[in-house]
Amino acid sequence: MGWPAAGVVVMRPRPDDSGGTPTLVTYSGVVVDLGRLAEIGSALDAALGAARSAARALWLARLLVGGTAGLAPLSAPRALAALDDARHALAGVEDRLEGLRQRVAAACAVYEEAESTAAAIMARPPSPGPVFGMLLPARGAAHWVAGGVLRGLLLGVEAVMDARRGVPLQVNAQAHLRDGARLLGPAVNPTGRVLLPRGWVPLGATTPVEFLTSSVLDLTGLDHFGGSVDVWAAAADGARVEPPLGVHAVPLGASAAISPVRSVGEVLGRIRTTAAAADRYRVGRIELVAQRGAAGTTAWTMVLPGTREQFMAANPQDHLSNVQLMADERDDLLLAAREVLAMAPIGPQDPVVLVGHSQGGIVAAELAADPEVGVHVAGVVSVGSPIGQVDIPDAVPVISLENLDDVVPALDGLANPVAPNRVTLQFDGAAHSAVLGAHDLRTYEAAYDRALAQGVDARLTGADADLRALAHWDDPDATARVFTFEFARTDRLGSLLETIRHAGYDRR
Amino acid sequence: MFFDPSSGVGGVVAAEHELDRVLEALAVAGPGDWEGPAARAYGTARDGAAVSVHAADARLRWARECVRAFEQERATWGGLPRGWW
Repeated sequence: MGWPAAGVVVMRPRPDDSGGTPTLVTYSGVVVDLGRLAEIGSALDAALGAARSAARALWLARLLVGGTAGLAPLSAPRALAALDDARHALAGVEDRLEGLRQRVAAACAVYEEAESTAAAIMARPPSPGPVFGMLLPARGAAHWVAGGVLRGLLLGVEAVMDARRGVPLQVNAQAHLRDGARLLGPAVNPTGRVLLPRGWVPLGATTPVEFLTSSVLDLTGLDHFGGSVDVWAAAADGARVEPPLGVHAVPLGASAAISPVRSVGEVLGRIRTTAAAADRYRVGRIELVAQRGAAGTTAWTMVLPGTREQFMAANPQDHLSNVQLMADERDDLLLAAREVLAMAPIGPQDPVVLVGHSQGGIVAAELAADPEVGVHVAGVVSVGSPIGQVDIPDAVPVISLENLDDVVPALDGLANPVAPNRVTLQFDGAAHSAVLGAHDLRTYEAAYDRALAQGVDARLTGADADLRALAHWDDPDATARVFTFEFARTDRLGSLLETIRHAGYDRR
Repeated sequence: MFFDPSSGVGGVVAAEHELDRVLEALAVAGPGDWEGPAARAYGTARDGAAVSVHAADARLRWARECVRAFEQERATWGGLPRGWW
């Protein structure tokens, strides 16, 4: 069985490299034969078994020589030393074989996951979800709950087993979150449909995670938390700049000259400083870099940081927005981002490249997918973001970076779509720091730079070059200015009261 | 893996035979039709494992010589009668 896995790049550490320097292993455009991989796995199992037998034989020989060493005192030390040396060498062989076997098992799992995700998408209509919903009242809640708990436990056991055989966290979590959400969704919302801003949507027309999160928001009324957000431009001195009365766009005076942006890596650096400023002032913050090329045209880069706050904070870059974004519900952060694009003096033909980390990547994808966004979105770079559920138009090139050790990109419960306009770089490079290092922006920065430097995949290199040309990052004569926008929720108490008022009401 | 437990050399020789089996299994575990960078990386790692097997084999050969010398010396002192176990 083989299928083309185009559009996906995997970069993994070389199994024989103890230094942890990640070297590329890509399967972009390669036809993978899972049967062959399984054969390799069996052969490696046999090799490992033989190596362990050899170690046992040597252990017995060592025991025998050691036990009778006193009967040959002249040559015993040398014999024992030689046996110990050989045992160490054999232990090294075992380690290498074990590592090789684990990596082949993990590669198998990645390929299987890609195929099962594709199969799940192909088989979505008719979804088994509504059937669950209809069966629920007939079979009795107690029976369903018992069955659900059992299935949930089995899912947990399966996830642990997958982790033990070396399946990367991202792949493992993606599959089991999807299955878990498929299991929990109908329990939370037996009606088999959810109310989204675009109207009632049946379970089969949403992803399992979307259905579950949307149902939870519906149940708690949190889908009504929002709608009161204020956006303003901040001048270099921190002063608030409002557009003149009757004019929507902020004046050029609100911007500051900066050195031109040259690469995705530099934009990721700007995301870090933007996030730090948001943390300092406790308000939402998005940057727009206007890069004017030698030809006189301007291209824009939108800098979208990740989650900054916990829940219902003044800054809508919080976890509530994450849940609302995953549920495809109304959300203050998306509202603010749209307002930023409306306020900036972006020409109708100016290309806009959206670059976001984590939550920022979801916002970037949502803006690109929005037909009424009002600007020409020319490209998206999502960094550690779960955007598998966002239907981005084919005309928009998308580069997605996903760390296989990072659970956040797996929260959508879906692999990214394989499409000509989408390149997903998956890697499992060394984390930048021990605590949440896998999701750290610097881990992603390093991996992306390394992937480009090593030329792991022609499509990635091509997409990166296209993006740099589109955004004028590669123009040596370009000049750049940055517009900084800040935003905050203005009526959190009102939103909370609205949430309480709606908690569970729209289903009655 | 059967060998005379009174013979240390037998144990080392058995380990050598097992290592031959490891090499045979690794030869079968080539990437074959699996192509592309991932397969090449796997192939490199497999070659690395085979090299380490050869290195271990060389050490086993040396250990065999040393243990043989040890058993000869032990025999000069009377040693253990064959089949003592």
